[in-house]
Amino acid sequence: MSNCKDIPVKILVVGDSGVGKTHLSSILTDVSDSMKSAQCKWTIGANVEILIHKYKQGTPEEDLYFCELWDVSGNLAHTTSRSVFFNNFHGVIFVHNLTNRKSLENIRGWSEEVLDGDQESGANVPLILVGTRLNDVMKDKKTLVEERSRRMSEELGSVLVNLDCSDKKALSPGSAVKIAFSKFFDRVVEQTIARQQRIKRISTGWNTSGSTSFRGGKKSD
Amino acid sequence: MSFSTDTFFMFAVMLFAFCFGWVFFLHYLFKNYECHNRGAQIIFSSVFSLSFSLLVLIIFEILDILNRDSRKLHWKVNLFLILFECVVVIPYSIFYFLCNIHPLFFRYRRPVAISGLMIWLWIFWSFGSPFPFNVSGLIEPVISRVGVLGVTMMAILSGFGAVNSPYSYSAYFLRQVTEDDIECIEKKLLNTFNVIVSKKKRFAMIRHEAYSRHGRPATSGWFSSMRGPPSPPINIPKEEIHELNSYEELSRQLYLELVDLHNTKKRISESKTIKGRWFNFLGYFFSIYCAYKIFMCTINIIFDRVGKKDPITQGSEILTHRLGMDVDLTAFAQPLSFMMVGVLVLTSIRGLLINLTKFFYAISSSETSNAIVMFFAQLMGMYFVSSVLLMRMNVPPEYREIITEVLGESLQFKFYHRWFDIIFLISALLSILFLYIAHKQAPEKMMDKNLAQFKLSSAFD
Repeated sequence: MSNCKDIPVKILVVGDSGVGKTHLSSILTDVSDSMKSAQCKWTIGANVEILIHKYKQGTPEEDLYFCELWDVSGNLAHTTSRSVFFNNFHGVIFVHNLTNRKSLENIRGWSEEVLDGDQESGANVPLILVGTRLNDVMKDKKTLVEERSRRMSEELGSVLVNLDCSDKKALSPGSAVKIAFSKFFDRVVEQTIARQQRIKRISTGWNTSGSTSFRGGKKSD
Repeated sequence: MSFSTDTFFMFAVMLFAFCFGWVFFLHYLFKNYECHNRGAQIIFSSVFSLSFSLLVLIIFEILDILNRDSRKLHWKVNLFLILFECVVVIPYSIFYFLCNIHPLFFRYRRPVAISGLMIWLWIFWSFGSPFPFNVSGLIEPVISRVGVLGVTMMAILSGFGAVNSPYSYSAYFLRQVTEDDIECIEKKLLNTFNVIVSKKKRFAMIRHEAYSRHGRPATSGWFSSMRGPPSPPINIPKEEIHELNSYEELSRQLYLELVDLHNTKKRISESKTIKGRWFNFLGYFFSIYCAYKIFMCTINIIFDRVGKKDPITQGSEILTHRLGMDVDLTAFAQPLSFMMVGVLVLTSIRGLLINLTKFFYAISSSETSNAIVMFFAQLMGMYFVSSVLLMRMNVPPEYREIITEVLGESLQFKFYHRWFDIIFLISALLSILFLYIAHKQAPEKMMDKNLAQFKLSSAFD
């Protein structure tokens, strides 16, 4: 714990039920099998996985940060209850299934639910759109599918990644996917630090001017 | 009307039902999935269209539309097609779609599906032995078996529905839920997650240090998934892992409790509206009806009698003999039967489709959706064939002829009604027991959560 910054960095992983969010978060954080709790086919509530990220790797400011990946259940019946997880977050990973067009169309609904729910967190938060099951997409439909996901990522203003979660080479160091994820995590940590500093500034501002305004309030009584 | 116009008319009805089934499939059932296999959609829509035309033929029977002989022919053709689909086509396609799930079975899906079909046919044939079935002919034994399956399903659904509708409609059973309860559970949930996160951070740090000690520059840890030397031993004691698992299980329970509270709160606010009050009134009405039905079933079984008269003749008898009114309802048999059968047909179709959709959303995933929808198509086919069988009781004698003629003279109709009564009673009693236990368990769950919260708060100290 000594050399890892313990600022809460919360990243939501959202998407339709069954697209592969839990699988994605477990391979990103590399949880070995002995640590995995009872394997539920569908996530109930949320699963949290912790990722240790090297922020600004290779520079003198390199530091380790804990990133919490909150993989929230995509169950249709739980819309009101899910909102308890959607506050105070610093990044969102939208996941969809490349073989299922409806899961891509539902991303719009997801972005509304997540980003509009918490106005403070929702604004300017780094987003990434991940498409899973790349290996299952039929060859002739590949360009069409990639075009559709590219359009959605532009609409959201997010980074786009398409991958096949069972392919180990896709996630090897130096691959495009890994670099994209590293950049995303860097931006998230940057945002978190910036927000923390903003909060500190506001609270110190309150401490200095707070006493005067209080006295002012008292005088007018 | 000549034969060809009749056929054309029936064909138009079937086409209308086919389109309805198609649209229903696409926009309701498969709302969240992409339909890769048109075969499933075609089979589902065709079963729906055949079932719908079966029921429409009963109505035509009462209203005496179309030529009598052409009606009979359509009955026979329709029945044959729907039985063929339920017994041969759909089981084959269920096995076929189930093979798509596992990559191992995927290559051998045709042989697996055919052998599955053979096993199904063997089971289907042999389970008929304890029942009083006729073995002659082809259609009769098949109908008798399909009838038993369908009647069982109908009885189970009616039994559960009869008990569940007063429970869900009336506001008497709603637990009181306040905003504070919800906030309390949310706080507990977030606290549990804080504990889980801090534990996992510690584990992640231990893993990270273990990797870096072994010289591997692991950061976000994709490494152990690559081929290479095995991962270094990570010393995390098993008790801590078990503790983490139990916290995660607690978080899931709390979440489900939260979902339950939200739903109850929504129902409470709905019950205060006008629609809600109307539903509440209906709930009391249904509970009386449900008690009456259970009582009648018990009487039927104890006194070993099967109602021989349809409601109209019986109603007219009651009015004439018991109440002394000189009314002969049989004169109005035709329009009354039409209204009654029409209402029964519409409510049963609507009820079945709504329940199927609910179950489908609850159970299916993107892989199993095709197999599940085929299973539902089979249930639907069997359900409608048996409802034709049972509807025979609801129609005056002059209209029963053709049903008896088409389904088979030697079919033991009394047996089916008796079977329905028995299964209905069992299903209703089991549902009462089940709902009682579920209702009682809810306040107990709150007590368990309080204990868990006590443990949590002591963990923080």
